[in-house]
Amino acid sequence: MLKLQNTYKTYKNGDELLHALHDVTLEFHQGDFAFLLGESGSGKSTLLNVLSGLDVPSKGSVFIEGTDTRTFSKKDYATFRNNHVGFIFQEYNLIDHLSVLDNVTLPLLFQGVDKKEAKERARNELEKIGLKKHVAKKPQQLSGGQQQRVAIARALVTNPKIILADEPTGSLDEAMGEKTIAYLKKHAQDKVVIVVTHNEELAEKFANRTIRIQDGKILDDSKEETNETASVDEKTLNINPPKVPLGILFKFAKNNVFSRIFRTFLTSAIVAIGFVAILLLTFIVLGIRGSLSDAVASLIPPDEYQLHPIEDTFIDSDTFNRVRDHEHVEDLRYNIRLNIPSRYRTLAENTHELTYLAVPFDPFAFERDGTLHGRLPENENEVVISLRTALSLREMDMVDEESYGYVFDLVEGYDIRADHLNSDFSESKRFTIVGMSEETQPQNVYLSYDALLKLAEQRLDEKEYKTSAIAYLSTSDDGDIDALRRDLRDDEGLVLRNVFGEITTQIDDVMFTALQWFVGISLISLVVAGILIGLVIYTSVLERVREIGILTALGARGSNIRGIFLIESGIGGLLSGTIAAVAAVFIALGLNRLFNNFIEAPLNLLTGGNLDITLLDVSIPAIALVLVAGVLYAMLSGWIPSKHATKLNAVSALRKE
Amino acid sequence: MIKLHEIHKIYTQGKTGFHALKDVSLYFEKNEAVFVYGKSGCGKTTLLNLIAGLDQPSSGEMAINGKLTSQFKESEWDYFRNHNIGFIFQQFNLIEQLPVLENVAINAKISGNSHTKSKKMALEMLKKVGLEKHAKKTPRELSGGERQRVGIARALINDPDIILADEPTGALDKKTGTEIMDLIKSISKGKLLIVVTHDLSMAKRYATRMIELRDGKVVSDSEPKDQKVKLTFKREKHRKSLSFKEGIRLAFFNMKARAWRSTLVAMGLAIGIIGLILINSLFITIRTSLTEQGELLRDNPELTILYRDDSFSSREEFVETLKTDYPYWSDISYSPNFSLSIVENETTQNPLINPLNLSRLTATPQSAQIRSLYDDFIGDGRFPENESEFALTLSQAQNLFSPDARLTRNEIWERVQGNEYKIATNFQYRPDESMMDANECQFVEDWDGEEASLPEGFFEDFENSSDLESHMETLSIYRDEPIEFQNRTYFCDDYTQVLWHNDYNNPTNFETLTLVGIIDEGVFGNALFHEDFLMSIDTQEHYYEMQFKAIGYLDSEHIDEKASIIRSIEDDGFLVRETTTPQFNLLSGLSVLFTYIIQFVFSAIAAIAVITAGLMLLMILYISVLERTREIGLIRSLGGTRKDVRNIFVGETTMIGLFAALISIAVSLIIILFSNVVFPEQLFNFLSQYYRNLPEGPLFTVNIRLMAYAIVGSVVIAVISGLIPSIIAGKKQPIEALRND
Repeated sequence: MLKLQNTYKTYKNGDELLHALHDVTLEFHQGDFAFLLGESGSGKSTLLNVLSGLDVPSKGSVFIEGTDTRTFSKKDYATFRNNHVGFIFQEYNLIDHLSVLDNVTLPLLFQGVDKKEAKERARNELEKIGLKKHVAKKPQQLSGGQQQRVAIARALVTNPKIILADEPTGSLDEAMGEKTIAYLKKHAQDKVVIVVTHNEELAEKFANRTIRIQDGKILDDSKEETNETASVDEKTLNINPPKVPLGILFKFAKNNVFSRIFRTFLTSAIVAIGFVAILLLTFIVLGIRGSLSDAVASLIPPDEYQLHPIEDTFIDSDTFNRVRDHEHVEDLRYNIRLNIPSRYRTLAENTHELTYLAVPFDPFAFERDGTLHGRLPENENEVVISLRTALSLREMDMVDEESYGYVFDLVEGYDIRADHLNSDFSESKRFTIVGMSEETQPQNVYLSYDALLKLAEQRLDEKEYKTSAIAYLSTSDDGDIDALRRDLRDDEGLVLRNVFGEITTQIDDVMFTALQWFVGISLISLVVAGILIGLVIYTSVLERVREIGILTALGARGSNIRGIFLIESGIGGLLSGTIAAVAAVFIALGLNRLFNNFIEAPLNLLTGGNLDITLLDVSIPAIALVLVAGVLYAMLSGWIPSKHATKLNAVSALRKE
Repeated sequence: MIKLHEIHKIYTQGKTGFHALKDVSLYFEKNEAVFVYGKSGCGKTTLLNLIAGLDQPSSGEMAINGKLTSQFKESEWDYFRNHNIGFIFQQFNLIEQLPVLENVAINAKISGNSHTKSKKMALEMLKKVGLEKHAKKTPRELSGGERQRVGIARALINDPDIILADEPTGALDKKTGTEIMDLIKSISKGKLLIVVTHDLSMAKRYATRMIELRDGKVVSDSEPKDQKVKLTFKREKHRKSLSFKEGIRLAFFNMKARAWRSTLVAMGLAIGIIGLILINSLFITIRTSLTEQGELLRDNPELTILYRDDSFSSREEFVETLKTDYPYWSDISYSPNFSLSIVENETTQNPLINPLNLSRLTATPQSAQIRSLYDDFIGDGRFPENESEFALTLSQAQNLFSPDARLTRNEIWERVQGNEYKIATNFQYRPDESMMDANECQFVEDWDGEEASLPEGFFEDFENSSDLESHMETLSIYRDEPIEFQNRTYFCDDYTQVLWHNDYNNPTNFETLTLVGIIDEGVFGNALFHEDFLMSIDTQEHYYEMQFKAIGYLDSEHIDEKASIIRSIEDDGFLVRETTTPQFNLLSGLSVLFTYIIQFVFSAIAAIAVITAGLMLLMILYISVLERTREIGLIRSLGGTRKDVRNIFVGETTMIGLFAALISIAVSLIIILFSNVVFPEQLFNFLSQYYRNLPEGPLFTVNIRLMAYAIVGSVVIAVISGLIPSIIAGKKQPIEALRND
């Protein structure tokens, strides 16, 4: 079943060559309860390692059920150990951060057994060995004898064909040692059991075969070797690797992270610095961009297109009509703004003069702002006026917001005149005030476009009011707009401008260029952070050699061990991303508050403006991006040390010095 | 020699206590080989630790050589351990990364011996234990017996009078163990040797006195002794300690042993510094070029030279005279600032939108100075090469179109490229109507340029001297007779001078020229014409204009003598004025400021990386302290002080800082070299997308001071980052450190 054929194992120590195994030929069969005796340094443990594939012989070969293991890959060996070998160590080698039950469940999970079933089997095994009460405890809460029983349960739970025990009683007192071996003998009658020890009494009492080894050579074997070739029975040797559930790897990673929570937290916090910088710079760029765009949008409607003559002073009516009839133009108006003088009678019955700016009203703008008192004009004789105009008409200077309704009551239904309509200043026209907007600055009167056009025609030369036009397009397709723009430029000598688009594009250009540079330079600190993550994971690997050794002995494959450390890096990355997000959001909110209280508010107070700036725009997509990038980057940084973990000769850490 | 009196030691853990030593009273003499034996847990090791001062008794007194050790300060214990005790450990406790020789020498160094002396002492000791051949090997390459010999050599190098050995053969096989015991016995002659063991047979063989401990009590003593001790209370004098140099040396070995980690940490620190060096190297170049441009204009301003007489027959003669009589010019040319006006685009037949106001140009000949400073043409534009060509600035060209059209630079160039324009070159003149007010007229006739010789009351019109200066520049364009023009008489009170203007509404002469270039230069405001064209413009007598006017720039050798040169020219009857362009100064000042701000912001962001690296160093060093607890404990048990331990770690951070500085300087120099030599054009084009005023030539300036800052900064950051871990390391108790296994 298990056979060593002329096996050598040589170690190099300084200039000396050490023959740990020297031409060893041995064969074990089902039912062997073999004791391997020898002094320390005689090669006992090496023999055990070579048998289990934890170590590779320098020369010669190991046959397992007739298969030459020289054909085994590391992965095959791992699966072989997992399915067919149970390990028992002197130092128990339980995993401290897992409960007793989880320790015993572990090899089953590596076999791919369903979690529920695995737990059930582990519980049964622990019950058999008399540890039912202790399943939920951590190994360190148990006595040495109890811990060794857990280790035995762990070795037996997968029902392996081979059990290898390396000084299993070395740390136990005599009585406990005998009890342990007796239990093992009782439950492993159909297996190959090889016990390495230097306790002769124990061997005499329990062994059905005793092998003595000295200086790497077999000194004496109580069972004569039948030199027949082993029967080949490959079917029973299953080395198909199972799929290890991610959950168990995650649990390892999680436990490790939390057992070094201070270090993990500090590392994550350091890594977070770079992310915080990136987030804050992004927030501020987005914030400024957003505030600027909002400011632009409040002044210029985004869907408004302006038409200007390129080398002429005005757009004549023919051109105007041709453009209006263009398929992509929905509406076209001259951009008329008239300064109109108006006389009105004051409360004291004096006549005063007021000049207001007459502009066409945009119903959507009023709707959008939601600040209209009264209603919109329904015919050419009705107007909406701004609060400023209303105040002027009623000889008031400033009122607080609660009184706006009162101001409107004062002017509603009254007339406002447009004077000086003709050259001798005699003609005038009256409009009825039906609404008021809450604008405190411009002294505006909003008329319908048609009314305004008539006023302009009466008052001005066409060169003066036809200087530009405003178009609303029937298409939002960029290709169509470009075509229209080309047509107008080439055929009519007009330029079509979306002022909002132009300004916001320019803002975006500047902002994103700045963002690129900022983030680009911030990346330097992420490189540093990457080195840190790599080093910390590397240290973590070195510190946990023993755990890696246990997992290897239990049959975990390289990819499983790498997975643990990668997940650990990922958790660290997530933590640093989270720390960065929280810190950045707090700093951003704080800075915004400071800005609003100490700069924006005084500025508004001084200028009477109503700036509403969000200096830092806390952008959720940016945070999400940083979280994802944090995890991925940490895993990338942890890749090399994780790979290193699988290459360590971890098993040597399992033995006591 | 050593007297223990009623010593108790109780370890507490949570609520439970463990009585490790119970009422131990012992007296040890010189020249004894005392073997303390007993089962594990009987208190032997505790006893040894108490004697070595690695642990303190819970009660009882101990006196060594008459000194009451319960009165010892920590530093006195350190001194005592270092000078009087040699400690031999079961697990050897060699420092793995140090060569054998250094492992032995370190004990001598801790006593303050120099490197050479310690080495010599160590070699001697190694000879004694038969290992002189292995001096350069690391402990890893030795067998267990050889390692223990190194341990013995180390214990004995300071010639202590007490040797304490804790299971010295515990990790060795029988044969080697015997050899080692023989060695210990032979070298401890005349000293007090206390060995702790559980090997009774060995004890019997070597001991002169055997003490058995059981459950913390002395149960047997083969040769019980006691003696009254006379106590002395002399404090130890200030002792020497491990020098910083040695700290560096030890750090070097440690870095070698953890080469990968050290390199990565140093690289981490270096990356940020490289970023800072590169950013600042680039910005130094940019700022230098900006400042140079600014200084060029400030230090070498345009000099306007005027001559009022008719003594020159032609403009050429005037300029020639200036050139030959005053050989100080880097560039001088006849240069009236003609005011011209573009009237019509003859190619497209388009009248100009606003010819009267917007298309007015100040025309300047292209001096070499101008050619060198302003050459940023849009598209394939160029300087005018003959008298029928001209070039405009971007803002002038924009005035050819509706400002609302917002044509881009390239669109404008596309539209005007090669077009012929009708340009008005001469106009009727009229007096400035604003000069009707007599008070605003100014005196100029026969003025000699000295402020003192201006008539009384002259200054009253000016509120400050800068007004005065600007008016002085226009002094020459006043006339000294009342003018009658369009039925109005223009005069100035006493001084009777009138300012004349071009009347741009009434051009009298037109020329047609081809536009060959648009200069995209915000500061420069003049249209450029070929000198021949300007010379050829009709020389109709300008009432207000000096006949002869040249603009010159001094060459670099004579800039410093500017004042005396101006004076000498003026002595010859010329009028010389400096034209400073405050607008340019302001703009160049602003752009330098702006560059500073960008440099600061970028550096600040890069500095985040350096801070991150500093914290990384802190973290890694902290982990390193945890890993090397054993080494720290060993050094403390050899008698190293907290300061010694701290020094070792500070030495390490200093080394890492220096290493990082070297990496960063080397890497940035390589990058700079590459960018400046191998792909300067690509880099230039790349950066030009973001910053248009990049200077030509190498983009990175190698600045020695910057490199020096990098070295100092790197070391300082490394040392500061390492301070906390170093202090933690220094605080580790030797006993804890040794127990940690």
